[in-house]
Amino acid sequence: MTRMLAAASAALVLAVIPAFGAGPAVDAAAKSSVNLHAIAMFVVFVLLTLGITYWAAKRTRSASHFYTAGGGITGLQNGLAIAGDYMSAATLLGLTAMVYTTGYDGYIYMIAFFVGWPIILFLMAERLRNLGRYTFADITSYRLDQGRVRTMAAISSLTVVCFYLIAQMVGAGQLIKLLFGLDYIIALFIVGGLMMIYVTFGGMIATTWVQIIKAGMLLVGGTFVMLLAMRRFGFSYTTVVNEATAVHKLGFKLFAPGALLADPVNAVSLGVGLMFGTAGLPHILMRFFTVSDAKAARKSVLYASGFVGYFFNIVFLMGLCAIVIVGTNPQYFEGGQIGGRIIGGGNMVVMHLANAVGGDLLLGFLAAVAFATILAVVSGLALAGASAISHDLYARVVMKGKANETSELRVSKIASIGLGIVAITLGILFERMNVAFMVGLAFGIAASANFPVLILSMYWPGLTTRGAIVGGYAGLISAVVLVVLSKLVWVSVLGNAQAIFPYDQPALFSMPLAFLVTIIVSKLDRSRAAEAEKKAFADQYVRAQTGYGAATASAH
Amino acid sequence: MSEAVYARIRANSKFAQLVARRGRLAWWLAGIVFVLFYALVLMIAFAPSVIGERVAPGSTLSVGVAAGLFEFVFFWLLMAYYVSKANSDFDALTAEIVDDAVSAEVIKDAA
Repeated sequence: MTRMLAAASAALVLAVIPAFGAGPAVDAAAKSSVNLHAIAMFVVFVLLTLGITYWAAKRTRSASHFYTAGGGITGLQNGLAIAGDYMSAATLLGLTAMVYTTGYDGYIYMIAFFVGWPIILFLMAERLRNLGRYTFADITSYRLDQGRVRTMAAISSLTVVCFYLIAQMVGAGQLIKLLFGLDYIIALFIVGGLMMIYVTFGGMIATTWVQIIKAGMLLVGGTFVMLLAMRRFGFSYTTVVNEATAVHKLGFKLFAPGALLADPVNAVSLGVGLMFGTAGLPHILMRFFTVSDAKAARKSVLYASGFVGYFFNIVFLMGLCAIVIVGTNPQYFEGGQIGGRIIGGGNMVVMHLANAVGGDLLLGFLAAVAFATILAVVSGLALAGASAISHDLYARVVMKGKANETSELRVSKIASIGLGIVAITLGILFERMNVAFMVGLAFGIAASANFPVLILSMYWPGLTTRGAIVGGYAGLISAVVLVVLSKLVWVSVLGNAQAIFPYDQPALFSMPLAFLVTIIVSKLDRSRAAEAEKKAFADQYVRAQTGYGAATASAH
Repeated sequence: MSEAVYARIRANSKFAQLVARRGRLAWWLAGIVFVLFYALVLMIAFAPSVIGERVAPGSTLSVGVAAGLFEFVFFWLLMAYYVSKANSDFDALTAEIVDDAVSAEVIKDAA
């Protein structure tokens, strides 16, 4: 096993070295020159994480190790890892860019991304830990029909994972092309290949540590850039705002809600989608099973939300500083035209800021952080997807609970490799498309397909298999259809003149629909199975509240 | 054994007390988050000009940023309060309830 890991890593490193060398020669116009600092720091990160994977592979002996690191992760570690899962490259690059161009709208997004956490803590964390083992479908199928409920949960999990993966992979390819001077396709193979190695060999133990290291790098890197930038303004928020509003075309309107949220329905729908989407993301939910008990689960949410909230506010400050530091420097605009197109596109604002305040070294570090971020998020997603395939579909649906652990583990590893190939393929297919809507769609689907059934299974005795299935699929299908009919896909991707569904985020409609359908169908369900399922709630309720009978940490 | 333990726990009045107290706190806190967050969202949707105003004449702090920052900090403090309460009082009560039920079952089995 470890020998295979060494061979796979060596093959990947060998593939990477000539790729870096060949980078600038090919298509030099579309790519920036090779950034040696960035590459050096990224190689250090990769070697460190491969070392951890080697160490983790020796400890990954059972399914419990593979899916949940044996339940032995501490609250602080898991909090950092959750923060790592949640803060993707889109947070660092996209949200800084959004603050840079639209000001307050970026802050609204960040608040909406934050408020899912208190809801998860107050209403879900304890029950998730007490009822679940490897995947959130353990909870939804706890007293319902295993086969059908797990099939549905696996389908919606994989849908969310795939949309999220597209956004990450396309972002990775473009970012790496720009920052490292590598070909788009080579970048995809590096990300996909490393992800397969981490997940297949190191399972949840390696994935968790990759997340922890990356979260640490992101927090340190962001703080450093923010401090250096704020030093230009004597660490005064007042000075930043005065100078930013003086040079920005919006003036003090920078702090008023902009066009993004001009429509009230759109604003509320976005709030609903981001708030409840967080509570339905399979790779986030899975992290609750890596800690020993409900106590640690609560602590991990507290730590995670502290890191996430802190980082969001740093991003806001960086965006404001960039308005002055990047926005008035011709060096960062194409053709030296201030106010024109930013070199590398809007997403590069934070990278230019790092360069302006800390030179090539800091730019290199932040570029390595961005690459590491994508790698870590992609690994977390792949592990969640692989668990849905092996634990839910293979072990419980296909083998009806009779699979032995060795074969289940083998399937999960094959699934991780399969997902790596899928991720690379999706990245290639969607290269030239605007994928900005993919993360929003992933949140919308999570809020509509996963969250309603999950929360009802924990809180409502009346939930039946039939209700969960019909309601879950109703949420999944309506969310996907509404996004396809919205401007993001119908107009921007498919080229139609006008959108049929006028809002960007489907959750305000698809989530209530899922709740409504689930409740009505459950209430109409008079089958004998439904009676037994309602009766079984009593014991489930005691376990959810007390943790008695919950899966415990396995020995290492 | 576990079904019998579950039944004993359910029959314990302390269990009802635990669930009621912890549930009440959790729903109250969730309600506060819900109301404050959607109040901000509705302000953004229906009174965007207020959001963009300065908190005081000449101040560089806007109403929207002040409200947002307040929510970040306040919500986190609510979470910290819940965690400290749940991890001490409620978990102690939970452990007591489970121990009672398990030992009662063990005694019954032995007898």
